[in-house]
This record gives sequence, C-alpha cells and structure tokens, in this order.
Amino acid sequence: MNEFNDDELCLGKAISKSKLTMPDNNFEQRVLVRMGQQAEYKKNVKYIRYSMLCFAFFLVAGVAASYCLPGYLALLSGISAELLKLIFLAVFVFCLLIGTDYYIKYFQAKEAQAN
Amino acid sequence: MLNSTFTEGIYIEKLVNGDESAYRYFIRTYKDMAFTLAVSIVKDNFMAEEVAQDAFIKAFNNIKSFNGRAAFKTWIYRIIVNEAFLRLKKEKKHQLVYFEDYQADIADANDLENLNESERFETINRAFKLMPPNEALALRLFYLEESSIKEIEVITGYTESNIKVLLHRGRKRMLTIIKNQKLETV
Repeated sequence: MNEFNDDELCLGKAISKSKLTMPDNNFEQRVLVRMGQQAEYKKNVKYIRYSMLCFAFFLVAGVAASYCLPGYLALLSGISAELLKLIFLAVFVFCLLIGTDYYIKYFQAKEAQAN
Repeated sequence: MLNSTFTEGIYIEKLVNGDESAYRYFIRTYKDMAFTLAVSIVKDNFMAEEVAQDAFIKAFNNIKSFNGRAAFKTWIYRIIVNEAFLRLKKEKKHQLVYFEDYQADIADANDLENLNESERFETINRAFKLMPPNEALALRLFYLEESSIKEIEVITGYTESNIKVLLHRGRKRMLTIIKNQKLETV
C-alpha cells in the first residue's frame, strides 16, 4: 500500500511539472486577428441579409409600380415616358450596385476567414 | 489568490466591454494550460493549437454568459475541454493505445526518480499522448492544475465516482506506459 502511495506521489509530482508551453509565439496576435475577421464576417452577413431584403423589396415594388403606374399616369403627365424610364433605370442601377457591393464584401470576408 | 481573483474580476469587466488589453491578459494567462489540456485530448500539437484558439474566441464571444458562479478558470477550461472533444469527434481520431491488462507490469517511483527533470518531462508528456483522452484529462486537471474532484466534475461533466475511477486507471496506465517506454529504450 505504502509502495503504491510512493509511486502515486512521485507520479503526481512528475505530472505537476509537465505543463506544456504553447508552441506558437504569435498565438495571442493570431487569436485577436481571427476575432477581428469574425466580427467583420458577422457584419458582412448582416449586409447580405440587408441586400437580399432590398432585392426582394425592389422586386415587389417594381411589380406593384408596373400595376399602379397606369392609374396615376394622369398625375405624371408632366413627365415624359422617356424620363420616367430613365428614373426607374437609375434607381435600378443604383440598387444593383449597392447589392453587388454587399455581395463582394461578403465573399471577401468569407475568403479571408477561410484563409 | 485573492489578489488574482480581484484582478481577474477587473479584466472580466473589461472583457465584457470589448477591451483588447483584457483579451491579451486572458490569452497570456491561460494559453499554456489551454494547449496542455487540448493536447491531452486531441493528441496532436497542431490540432491542439487550433482547439485553444477556437476555445478562446468562443469564450470571448460568450463572456456575457459567464455568471461568476464558478471561477473564470473553471469556466474557460470547460469550454476548452468541450471544444477539444468536439474536434476529436469531428476528426474521428480515436487511434489510441488500449492496454488489455495494464496492471501486469507497472513502473515504480524509481523508474521516474532515476530520470533527470527534462527526461521526466518528456516521458510524462509522451505517455499522455498514448492515454485515452478522458484519463489524460482527469490526471492533468488533478495533478497539474491541482483541481479538486468537484472542480473536475464541473469542467468535464463526469460524476465524482467516474473521476475517481478515471484517476485510478489513468495512474496505472501511465505507470505501465512509462515502464514499457523504459523497456523499449533498454
């Protein structure tokens, strides 16, 4: 019994001095960098959700406008058809650019996180 | 001890506010133990580094869920242990050496005492890599971190009797591995 206790004591002493050291000297910085990347990624996920919402809204608004516009044509009599088309086109291109920017940011962050 | 708990309390508050100095403080304080615990479970240095990294990020992101009922150390060790077992499950790396009869030929105190300090360090850490994760973990926490059985219960989720069995088996298995290593080198 005593013999076993001696062995146990000796083993315990040896284990208590067996703590390993983190081999990567840059570990602290690596954790902080990855945390930053994750925060960026989360922000970009928010962007993509927002862009999807914008896209859906744009689609619904477009369909609704094409149904409703003929009824309001009288109110828009001062605007030529060409100008109206230009306004719609401008809004469409603007939304498309914003959406594309969000997508690019999202994929860039995803790639950065994978690396 | 009281002083370090007080300091930790201050840094935990800073952590909640997203202060970078608090992140650095906790990483510096626990990185070695995080790596040691992770390597006891996953048995691979590179994987253990990744586990430690993921565990720190998880802990920092969920710092608001730390309620202070247990010590911060216990809380973060639990996250590290969970992360390591998750990783092990993902990698399916269960290539461990199981001994059918580990009581057959075990080392005694002399086998360890005859070694110099660095040899003892190497022998013990080599032996840890050949042990089942749960036994290695119990031994590390009990002897290295001097955790009580109650603390080990909180960290691992094992029951008290389970931990006692793991410690008993772990000690015997480690002594057997040390003896085998010694025989191989002779």
